[in-house]
Amino acid sequence: MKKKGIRKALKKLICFYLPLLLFLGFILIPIYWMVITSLKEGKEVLTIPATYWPRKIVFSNYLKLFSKSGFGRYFLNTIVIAVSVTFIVTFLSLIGGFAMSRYQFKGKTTVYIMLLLTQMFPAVVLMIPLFRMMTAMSLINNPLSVIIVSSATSLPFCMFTMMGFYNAIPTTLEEAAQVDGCTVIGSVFRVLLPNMRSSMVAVGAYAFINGWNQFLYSVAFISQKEKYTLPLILNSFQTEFGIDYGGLAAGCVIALAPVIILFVFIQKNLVGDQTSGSVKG
Amino acid sequence: MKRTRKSFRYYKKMAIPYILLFPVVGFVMVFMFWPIVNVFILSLQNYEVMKPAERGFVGLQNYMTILTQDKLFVKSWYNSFIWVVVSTVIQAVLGFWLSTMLNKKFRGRGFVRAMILSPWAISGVITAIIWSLIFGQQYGLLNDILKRLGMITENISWFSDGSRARIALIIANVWRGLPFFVINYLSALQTVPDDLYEAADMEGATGFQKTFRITVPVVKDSIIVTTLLRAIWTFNAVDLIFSLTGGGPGRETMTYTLYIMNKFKNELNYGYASALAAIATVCLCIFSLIYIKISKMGKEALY
Repeated sequence: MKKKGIRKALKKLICFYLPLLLFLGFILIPIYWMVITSLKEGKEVLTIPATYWPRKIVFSNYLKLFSKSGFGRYFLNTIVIAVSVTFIVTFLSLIGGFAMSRYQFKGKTTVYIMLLLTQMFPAVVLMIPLFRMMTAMSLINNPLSVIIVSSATSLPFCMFTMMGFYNAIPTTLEEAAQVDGCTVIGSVFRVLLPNMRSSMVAVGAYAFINGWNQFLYSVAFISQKEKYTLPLILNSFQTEFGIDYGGLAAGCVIALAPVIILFVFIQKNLVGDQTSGSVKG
Repeated sequence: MKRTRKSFRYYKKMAIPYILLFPVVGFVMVFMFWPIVNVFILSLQNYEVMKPAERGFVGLQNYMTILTQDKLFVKSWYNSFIWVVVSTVIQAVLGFWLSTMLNKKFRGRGFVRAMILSPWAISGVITAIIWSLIFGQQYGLLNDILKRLGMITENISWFSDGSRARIALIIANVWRGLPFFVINYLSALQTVPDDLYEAADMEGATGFQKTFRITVPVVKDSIIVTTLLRAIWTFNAVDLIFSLTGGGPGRETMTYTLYIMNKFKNELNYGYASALAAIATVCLCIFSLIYIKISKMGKEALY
């Protein structure tokens, strides 16, 4: 009996914990390596064999980025774009998703399929005509161009997500409020929206991450260095910095920090919770 | 009198969903559908920025050149095909395995899930930099580990050989794409009723049997939809390849979309690039129609 227990535990170790650990290693080691590279001194980054823990933890790579490379400006440029995209996308998908979830109307299927189709469009294809469009509107080297296009490209997915969140809230809630004498708009603001708070956070975070990471359209629309965003500057650092891997890694860590923090907030929303909610409803 | 007022209110009510949807649809029409139409118009023109004198309508000439003379056209499609199929299949299989493990209850599950899903939020450029630190020839982590393990004596140069560069790219892409699969599969796994497993346990089914007789059939639709969608996105993605190999060495990792970007961004040949883009659009449309047909089949996934 006891032997069987040991065998079972061993089996669980080999079939479950070991592969899980390997996956975890595969995912985390690259991130770990980036972080410790950014904390090493310039000389130590280039020592062979490599050190797996910094001999001395230094922040000089980070300080250098802000003092010499003007990282603060690029950070700010990126924030402007990401925050604008977040507000535009969250607001528009909030109202669009409401229509898709709560109304039956002619053309609903068409809208649905149309938005689904946009998910297949390659950014590279759109880039060419959009570049000419932005040139015609003289928005080249203006963050507005990136804001507009990033918003447009994240809108369909965000609206679908929002629609799912609305669907998970039973209509009886609003109906009850309306029976109690609430107007339609009143029921939306007083009953529905308070229930949608976490959904708005999830969609907003998704839009923020998209705007923050936007690369292709930024490459196309922005060529002046002082208008660069973080992905652009990091991409050019790759060639400029040569073997200053410490600086490069530090740049990545700074660019990643806000996104990872947001991700921790929304990752629960991404998996399960939302479906289990709808099952319950 | 009363009737007209009623019908006015009726129309007002009818209009609400259209008004609410107008901004979204407008945005998408102007900045996504109209550009696609534009690509087709532009593809019929000779439009090179550096040669303004030769600009004009040329009919199907760009297409003829592409189909008859462009060697890179075939090569880049081949590269895209390898890139999409290999990385998507690996992601789908590993993603399924990983999500069944993450679906089990164990201590620290929430934390492990968050860790494993984190690359989802990381951009293509940063993914490229992270992996260039790993695959670097002299100071890269991978060569260092392989050396310590005694598996190699000389440092491998990962990006100077076509197939090695491809492997490096695919590993980086799997790393970044795995969370997407896990997120979708995990949501699908929530829909598998527990009592099915309980019944299987009563009958004495093995874990293997339970996976392939119960789990896979129930989440089949989600597997197909997720895989197709990811395949399209992998085809469309250029940022990772652009910053990690730039299509090199030579043109060994030049995918079709990267080729379009090169024609547009480096050679400034808008007409030709548009023709290439138009071909990609048509191919993707066919693929997408299949996708939509199938995703309708698994309606509960989206509708």
